[in-house]
Amino acid sequence: MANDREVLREVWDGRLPIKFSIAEEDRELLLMEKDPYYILVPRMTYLPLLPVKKHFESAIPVTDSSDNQPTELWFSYQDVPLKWQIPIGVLYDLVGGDTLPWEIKLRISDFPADKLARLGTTIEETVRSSFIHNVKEAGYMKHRGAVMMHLLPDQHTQLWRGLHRDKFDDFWKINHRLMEHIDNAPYRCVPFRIYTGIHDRYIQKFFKPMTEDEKLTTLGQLLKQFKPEAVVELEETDDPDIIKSYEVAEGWKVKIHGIETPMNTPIQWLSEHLSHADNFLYIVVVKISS
Amino acid sequence: MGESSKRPQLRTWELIYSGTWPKQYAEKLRQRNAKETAPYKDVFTSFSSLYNTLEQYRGKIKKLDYENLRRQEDIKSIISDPGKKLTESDKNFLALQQENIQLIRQHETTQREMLRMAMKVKDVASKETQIIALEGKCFRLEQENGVLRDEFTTLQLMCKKLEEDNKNLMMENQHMVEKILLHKKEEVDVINMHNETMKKLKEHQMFYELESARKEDTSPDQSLSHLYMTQGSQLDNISLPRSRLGGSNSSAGAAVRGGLFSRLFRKSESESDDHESRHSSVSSRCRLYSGPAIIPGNVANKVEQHTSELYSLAFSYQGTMFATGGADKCIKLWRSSNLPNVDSIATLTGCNAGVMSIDIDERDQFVVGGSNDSAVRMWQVSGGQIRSTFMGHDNKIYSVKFYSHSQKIVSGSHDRTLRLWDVRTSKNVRTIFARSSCHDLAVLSEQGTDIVSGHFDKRLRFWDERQDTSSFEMLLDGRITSLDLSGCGKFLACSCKDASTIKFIDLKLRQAIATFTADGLRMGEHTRCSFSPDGQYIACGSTDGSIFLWNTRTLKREEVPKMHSSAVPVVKWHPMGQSFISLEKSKKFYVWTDV
Repeated sequence: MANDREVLREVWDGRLPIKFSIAEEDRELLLMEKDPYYILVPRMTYLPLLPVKKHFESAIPVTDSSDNQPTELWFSYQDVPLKWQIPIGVLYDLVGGDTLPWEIKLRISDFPADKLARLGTTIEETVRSSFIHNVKEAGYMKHRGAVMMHLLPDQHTQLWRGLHRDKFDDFWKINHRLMEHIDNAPYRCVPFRIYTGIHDRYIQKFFKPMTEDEKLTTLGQLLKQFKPEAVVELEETDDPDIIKSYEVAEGWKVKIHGIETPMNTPIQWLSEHLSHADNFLYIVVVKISS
Repeated sequence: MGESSKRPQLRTWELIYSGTWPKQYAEKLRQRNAKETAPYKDVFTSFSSLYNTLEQYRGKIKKLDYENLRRQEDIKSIISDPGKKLTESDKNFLALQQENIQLIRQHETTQREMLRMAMKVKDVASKETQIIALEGKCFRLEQENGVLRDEFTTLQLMCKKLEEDNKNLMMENQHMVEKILLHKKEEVDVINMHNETMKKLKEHQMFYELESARKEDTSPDQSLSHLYMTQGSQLDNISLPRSRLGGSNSSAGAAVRGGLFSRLFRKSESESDDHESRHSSVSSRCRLYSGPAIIPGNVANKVEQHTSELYSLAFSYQGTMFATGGADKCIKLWRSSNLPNVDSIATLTGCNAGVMSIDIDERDQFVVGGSNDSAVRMWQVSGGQIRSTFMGHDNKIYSVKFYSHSQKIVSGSHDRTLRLWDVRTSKNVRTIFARSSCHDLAVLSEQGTDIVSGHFDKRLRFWDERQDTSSFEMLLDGRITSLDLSGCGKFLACSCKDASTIKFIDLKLRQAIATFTADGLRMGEHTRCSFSPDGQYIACGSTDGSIFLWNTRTLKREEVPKMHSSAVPVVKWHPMGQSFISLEKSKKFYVWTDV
C-alpha cells in the first residue's frame, strides 16, 4: 500500500529548470526574434504539455516553407531529438548532463521522422491517449487490469487532469486505487522500463516482486536479470530476507527520478512509490562517459 | 496462476514498508530537489511571474494599441469633419463622465433595488397569472360594455332626434296655431269690411232704384210689352227671400200682372207638353218655364268688360242673372232682367287661373266656378265673397255643376277624376276615377243617380254617385267638348271635336238619334253647344266666329248671321228663350234678339 506520502510528495515536487530557445539553424525561419523561455518543469510531465509553444507562437510561421505542411515543433538537446512520450525527468536523467538549467532547443524544421513520433494537430489529445494507454498497460501487468476496468472515463480524465494541471491530490485520489494490492497480494508483475539511451529500445519484461519462496525481489535482482552488465553481486548479505545483494557496477549509473537508488530496495516498494504518473517505473541505466 | 494466489506473509509487507527505504528515498529526493530545483526556484518563479505580468502588459498594450488606433481613426474622422465637433465632443465627454458617475451611483441603488425586486418578482409572477385571467374577463366585459355603449349611443341619438322632431313639430304646431288665429282674425276683418261695403252698396242701389222708380212714375208713356217684361222679371225677384224692392203701388200692381202672365204661360205650356211637365217633377233641372225660343238674328248688345278670353257662361234658373268667366281669373255676374241690356252685379274674384266652368244654384244664392288652378270655389251672390273652396283636384277643372237641389256639387277635371262635394261641409264626398279627362258634365237627376260625363277619349260615361264604376258608356265620333241637357231632361246635345259634329242623344234609348254637322263648323278645345230652353234648337259656335243652329224637330239647319270675328266658344239662350248670348274669345259677348 502506497502510503508514504512524504516520498510521494517529494517525487511529485521534483522540478527541473529548463531554458527553451529556438535552435540556431531554425532562427532564420522565424518571423521575429524571441527571447528564450525559462520554466520550472515537473519531472513527471511531458514536453508537449508545456506552454512553450504559446511563447514562441508569434514567431513561428504557420506552415513549413519547404513542403507547405503545418509547422511541426520538436525538441532537441545537443542535437539529440527528445521523445515526447518519455517523462521530462527521465529525459533529463538520460541525456541531460549536469548543467542546469537544462537548455532545450526548439526545432521547427527537419523533423526527424525516423526518431520521433508525430504529434499531429491535436497535441494534448495525442499525449493523453499515449498516457492512458501506458496506465492501462501497467494496470494489466499489476493486476490483470482488474482496477483499470472499473475506472470510469471521468476518472481517467481526472487522473490525466491531475497530472496535466499539477494537482497532486486530484491525481492521487485515482492513482491510489491503481496502486492497490488485490487480495493483499503483491503485484503480479512490476511494470518497469529500463532506459539505457534515449533512442535505444527500452527493456520491458515480466518481473515478479516476490520469488516463489516468498522472498522479496530487489532492484538489483531486476537489473541482474535484464541488464546484468550494470550490476555486480556482493558476497555477503546482511539481510536474511534478501537472497542476494548487488551494487552498481563501476562506470554505470542507475537513476530513478534523478536519484541513485540502493540496489536492494524491494521492487514492490519502488513500484508503488517511485513509479511515474503512467504507473511505470522508469529505470535509467547509463554508462558514465569518461 | 499458482504464484499469484500465494499470500505474502505479514512480515513481508512489514519488510517493505517498515524498512529504511522511505526515509532513505525521501532524503535522497530532498537532496535531488535541493540540487535541481531549489537554486532555480526563486529565479524561475520570479521569471514566470514576470513573464506572466509581461504577457499581461503585452496584452494590455495590444489592446491599448488597438484602442489608440481606433481613437486616432476617430480623431481623423472628427478632424476631417467640421472642427467644432471636437470641442463639442469634449464637452460631451465631460458631460458623459459626470453622467457616468451618476449612473454608477444609480447602478448601486438599482442593484439594491433589484434584489428587493427579485423578491417581489415571485409575488408578481403569481399575480400575473391572476391578472391574465382577470384581463380575459375584463376583455370580455369590455366587449360587452362596448356593445351596450353602442346600443346606448344609438338609442340616445334616436332619442335626441325624436326629441328634436317633437320640438320642431311642437313649434310648427304653435306656429300654425298662431297663423290660423291670425288668418281667422284677418278673415273676420275682411268679412266684416266686405259686409259693411256691401251694406253701403245696397243702400246706394236702393236709393238709386227708388229714385228711378219715382222717375218712371212720372213718365208713363212706355210701351206695355216692355213693362211686362221688366216687371215680370222683377216679380221673380220678389218671390225670392232676398227681395230688393220696396213697394210703390204702381210697381206692385205691375208685378201682380206679370205674375199672372207667367202663370198663364206656364199653364198653357204644361197642357201642350204633358210629358215634359211630368219629367220636370223629377228633375228641377228642367226649366219650369220656357217660352218659344228665338232664332238669334240680330245683335242687340255687345259687352266688353272682361280683360281676357272668355270660357264660360251660366244663367241662373230663373234667368234673372247670368255669369261669365274667362282667362282673367274672375267671374262677372250680370243682371239679365232687362235684356238685351245688362248691368254688372258683381265681380267674383279669388281664382288664380282662368275660370273654365260656372254654375248658379237653384235659389240664385251661390255661384260655383271651376278653375284651371285645380280648385272649385263657391261665392255668395249677395256680397260676392268666396263662401268655400273645394280643394282636391290635381289638374284643371273643366266642369262644375250643382245637383241634389244645390246641396252638392260635382266637378270634372283634367286629372281624370270626378269629385263630388258637399256644399255645407265643403268636403269631398266621393272621388270617381273616370279614366279620362272629363270635359263636361250633365246631371240628369237631382239625387245624383244619373250623372253623365263627356271625355277626351270620345266616350260618354253614365255614373251613379253611389258606385265607383260607370253604369253605361257610349262611344262617339270625337273628343267630347260639351254636353247640354234639354229643358225637358230627355235629350242630350253633345259636341264632338274631331268630327265637328253634334250628337242629339235620346237619354231613354241611350243612343244618338241625330247627328248635326255643317260645313265650316270647327270646334275649339272647349266649344260648348247648347239647347234652346224649349228644346227646339241646338246651337253651337265655331272657331271662325259663325254660329250654327239646327232645328231638332225638322233636323234642319237654321241660318244665323255671322257677327263674331273670332272663335265663339260658348252660346246660350236665356232660360226664357227670348234672348241669346254668345261669347267671343276676344273678351266680349254679344246679346242677340230675334230678327
